[in-house]
Amino acid sequence: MSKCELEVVFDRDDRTYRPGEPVRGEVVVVTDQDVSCKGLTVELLWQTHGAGNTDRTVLETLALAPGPWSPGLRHRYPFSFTAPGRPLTYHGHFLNVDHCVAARADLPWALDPKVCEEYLLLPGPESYREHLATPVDFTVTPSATSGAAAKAIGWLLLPVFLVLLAALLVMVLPLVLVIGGVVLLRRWFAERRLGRVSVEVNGPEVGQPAEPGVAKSVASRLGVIARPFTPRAITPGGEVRFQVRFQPRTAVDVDRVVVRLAGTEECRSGSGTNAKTHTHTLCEETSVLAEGVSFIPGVPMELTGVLPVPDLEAYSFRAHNNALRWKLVVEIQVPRWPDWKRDHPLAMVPGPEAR
Amino acid sequence: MKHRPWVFIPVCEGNAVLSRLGPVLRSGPYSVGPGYTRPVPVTLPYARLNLRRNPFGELGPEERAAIAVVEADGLAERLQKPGLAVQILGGCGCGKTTWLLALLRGFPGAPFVKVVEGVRTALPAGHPLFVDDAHLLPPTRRRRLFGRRASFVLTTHVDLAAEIERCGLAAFTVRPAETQDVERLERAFALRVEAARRDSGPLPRVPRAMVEELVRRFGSDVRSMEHCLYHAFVTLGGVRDVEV
Repeated sequence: MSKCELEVVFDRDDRTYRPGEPVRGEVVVVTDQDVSCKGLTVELLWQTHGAGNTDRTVLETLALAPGPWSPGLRHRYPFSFTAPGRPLTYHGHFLNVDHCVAARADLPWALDPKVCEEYLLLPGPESYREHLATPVDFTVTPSATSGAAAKAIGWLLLPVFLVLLAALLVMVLPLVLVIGGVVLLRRWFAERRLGRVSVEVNGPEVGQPAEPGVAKSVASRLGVIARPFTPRAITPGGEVRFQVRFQPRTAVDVDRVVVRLAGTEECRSGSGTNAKTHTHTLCEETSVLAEGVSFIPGVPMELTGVLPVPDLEAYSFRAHNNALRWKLVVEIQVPRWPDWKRDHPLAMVPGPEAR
Repeated sequence: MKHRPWVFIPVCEGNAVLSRLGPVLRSGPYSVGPGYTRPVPVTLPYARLNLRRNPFGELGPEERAAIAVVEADGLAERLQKPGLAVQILGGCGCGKTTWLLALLRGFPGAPFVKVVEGVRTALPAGHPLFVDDAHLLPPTRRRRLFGRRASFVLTTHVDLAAEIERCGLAAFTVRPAETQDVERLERAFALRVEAARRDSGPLPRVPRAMVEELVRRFGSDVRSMEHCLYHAFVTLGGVRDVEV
């Protein structure tokens, strides 16, 4: 069997590119026999690797029709792609996100030789603005959308599904009420003493804020939401400022008011009953705003804090099996009473001075 | 019990808190926590180990099958004809699915189904049919399946041999856990490291003593061994023998 080797060579030795820059290079083919190739495909893609299942997206494809390859010669096929804006290269514990140029030669009656070489995509001058415009979420892909027939069947089956769901709910309603009540009313119980607690995180918002009308209707139904949450942006090496406000309804002793900044990698491997989620904490910074205090009823309180953001290029990322999440966890610990706790999503984005 | 006197303690500008628990409230917030590791410059992944990725990370089915160390002599030939059910039997993580994928590699285009608990999985027609987690199928569906004129390769946690034979099929059982030994595992781990090779030159090695230690620790649970080695490779500083 003939030996056919492919190699991807980038025009930059350090293989480092910024969003929008041209990713240029050439695919070099060497064979030890005369080979007639049916096609040479070059792809620009990103993929995850590590403990989780692979998420992979091909961004651009270049189909070449090479002539016959002769032995001893280095056949060169130049390529030029545009470096995407995101996701940026990330190498962590369980999660790695890498950009690659992959080439595959279609050989008749032989295994197709292929090669995949990584390049580094680092933040550029536009990255800050681009990351603020929309969250980095690759869980929705055009290929995942249903066709017209699937949608029609879905709509036809919806009433059946709703009836079955209603029947199921009636059967397990008491259990749902008990468990749901404990979970949902936990914060309500806490607010019976603490009053309405609002948390404000400073910083630019990421993506479009929720429609005001929607936010209002949700607030009126649940009764405790002061304002819609949109992720706030944090940048490596920066800081996150926040305020916790409440007006106690009764005299209340508080063990601690704690705010925690946490960054975690979450990767899912396997599927079905073998599915497993691997979680790795990148950073956990805690600020104790108050400890062992008694609050006076009716006196509005505002606790202000600031936490340093680690200088990690661990930008927020979400795909089907892998995610890198940042959040601010606010917890008010009341002795002998349900604690008040809420997570605020944050989005780690490249700083405006990146490059 | 006598309470401490109430005192006002400033929390932040314009606000104060009444406290009687002593001066435990700080004038400003303080931070606790383990901190974080310093950033390292972004370089090609695992280049320090002459690898492209962590060799013990999750692999796609094709790659997993390509580097599987299984000895299925004659099985592929026997599966060509209908009437045989090969059940790959064992506990979690012993290599059942790897065995199945390695056999599947010899039948390009053959149907493959992964049964998911609580989901009605369609069982396509075709011969031979590969079914992962066949024990999750209801017995009635299994019986209907075995009634087909085809051969099957199944992974299962429970022995289905009697059921298979009642349906008129010949049953052949493979127990991956029983075929595992230190030598085979050492070869399998070396293949995984080789598959992640970046350039020519030396690679990190999982030495025999390490494999023996892993077998002592995890028995036949290869998945747990791989998970352990994944962590070892994350922290491995250069090309040398792995230590757990």
